[in-house]
Amino acid sequence: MSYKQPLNNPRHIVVARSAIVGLGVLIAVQTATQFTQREPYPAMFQPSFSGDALPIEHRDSLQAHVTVETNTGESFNFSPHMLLADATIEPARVFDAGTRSNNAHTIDPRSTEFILSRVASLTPGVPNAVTIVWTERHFNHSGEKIDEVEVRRVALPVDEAKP
Amino acid sequence: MTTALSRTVCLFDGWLHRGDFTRSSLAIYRIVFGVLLLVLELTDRQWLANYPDSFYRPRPGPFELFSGFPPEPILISLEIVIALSAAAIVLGVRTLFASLTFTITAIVANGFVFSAGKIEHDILLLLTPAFLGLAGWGDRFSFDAHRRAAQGVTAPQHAEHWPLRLFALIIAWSLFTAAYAKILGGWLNTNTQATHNALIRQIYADNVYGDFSAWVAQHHVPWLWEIADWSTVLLEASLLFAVFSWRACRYTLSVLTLFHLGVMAILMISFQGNVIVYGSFVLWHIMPGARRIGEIITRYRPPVVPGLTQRTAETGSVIGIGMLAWFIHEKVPTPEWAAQVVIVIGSLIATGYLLHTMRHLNTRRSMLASPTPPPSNQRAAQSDF
Repeated sequence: MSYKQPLNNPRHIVVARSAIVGLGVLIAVQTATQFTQREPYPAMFQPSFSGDALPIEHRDSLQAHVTVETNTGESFNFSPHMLLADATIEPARVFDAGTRSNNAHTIDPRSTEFILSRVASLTPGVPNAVTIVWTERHFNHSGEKIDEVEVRRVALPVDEAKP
Repeated sequence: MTTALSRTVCLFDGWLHRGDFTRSSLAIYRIVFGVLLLVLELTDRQWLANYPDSFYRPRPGPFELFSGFPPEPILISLEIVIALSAAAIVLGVRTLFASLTFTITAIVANGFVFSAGKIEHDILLLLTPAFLGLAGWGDRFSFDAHRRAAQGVTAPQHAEHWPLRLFALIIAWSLFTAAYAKILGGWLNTNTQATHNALIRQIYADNVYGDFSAWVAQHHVPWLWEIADWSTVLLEASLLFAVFSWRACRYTLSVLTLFHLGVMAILMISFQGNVIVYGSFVLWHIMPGARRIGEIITRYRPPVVPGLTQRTAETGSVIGIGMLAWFIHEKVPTPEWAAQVVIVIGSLIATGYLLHTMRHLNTRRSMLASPTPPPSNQRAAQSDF
């Protein structure tokens, strides 16, 4: 049974109306921010998955991995999931945040030092060369990989990190 | 002109304050919600302290004021405040204050986490305590209610409805932003099967899949996937139109819960937070057995210790439960299946509600067809909704 509260408290009415007006302003601000910059936080958004509407031949995925060569001649491959296993949000996105750079050939020195320390803790032996490689994989509609293209490569200065 | 305007404003005010929620219903939900917070949502945030500030990429907003992640003691403090306020919500101790504290602290704590690269879109879950607190979810089955009753003060039976309307509008708008972005992104274009794309990405790029999703992905029937695309967009947009009636709102939220079950089964993405949020619009007080949840909390009294006041004993209970939950989360991470269980239970409740409604509609149809009044138990079922 629907019930209508007695509207005899002017304070309640004013608060409720103000809240609705405030919501309208918030929606306007967050929408403007999203269109002019990117999705703000905190804001009232839900995940859109809008990028999934692509033609079949463009189904792709940008992925990073770290290749390591040690002084014993062994080589290892680490995914962001392995390097940033402690992250409670998607490690690939955290890795992307830390390695984003205006220069295609370098990343922030603080990120370099951090990634090298993580690599050192996972690698048996001493790393001689550490490289981050970003590849773009293309799939068809059955999920079969059509090709894999390298889009960026950054060699981390291992010698500078050594004591 | 002025009369028409004042009449419209009057109608608007009436709509804003109308509804069938009782404080008992919200209080039962408060206990369920608080327990779920303690079990599922006390996530670790201390890892941020290990990361250099070059990983700090805040979104537009207040977190741009910071230049990096906070130190570990601050992250631990935020986690503890969240755990304590969740415990206070369960027991109903200083409920409104605890609810607002939870919302603010969790938004701040998550703001730092999301500045590391990805927004998890759990804002609706974090806003729930603030709005439900204002609606009066602490006024029944709580220590607060018990204390006030002893002073001869009892809140009215019906809840404060404007915060619930406002919250429903926020949920509707949030879902609409997803639908709108999908439309702009081309989900309604019949040449792209976005749902299938998302599935392929999950399986082959992100390596997240189960046997069922792998089987579904093998069947690329474009028109079928296109129906999935259109249904998703329509469903996400529909709440914005349904929000004007509580009944329509509940139907839509029930269907959305089943939609989340489908997303979990096929895409292996669990939106358990949203399913928990939709529970705030369930009329818990008419659900068989739900009152027992409230009665259990009402029966609990903190142990009487000589020399301690009732207030101190309540605070002690909050600290004990909150710290225990926080400590357990430190040692044992929440298993992934817990989120799936929440979605399955939510879907069972949604299915029950939809079936109940269908039965009610059939009853009404037969009432219209027949001149004799229906049996009394059917009349009772009609009055529930």
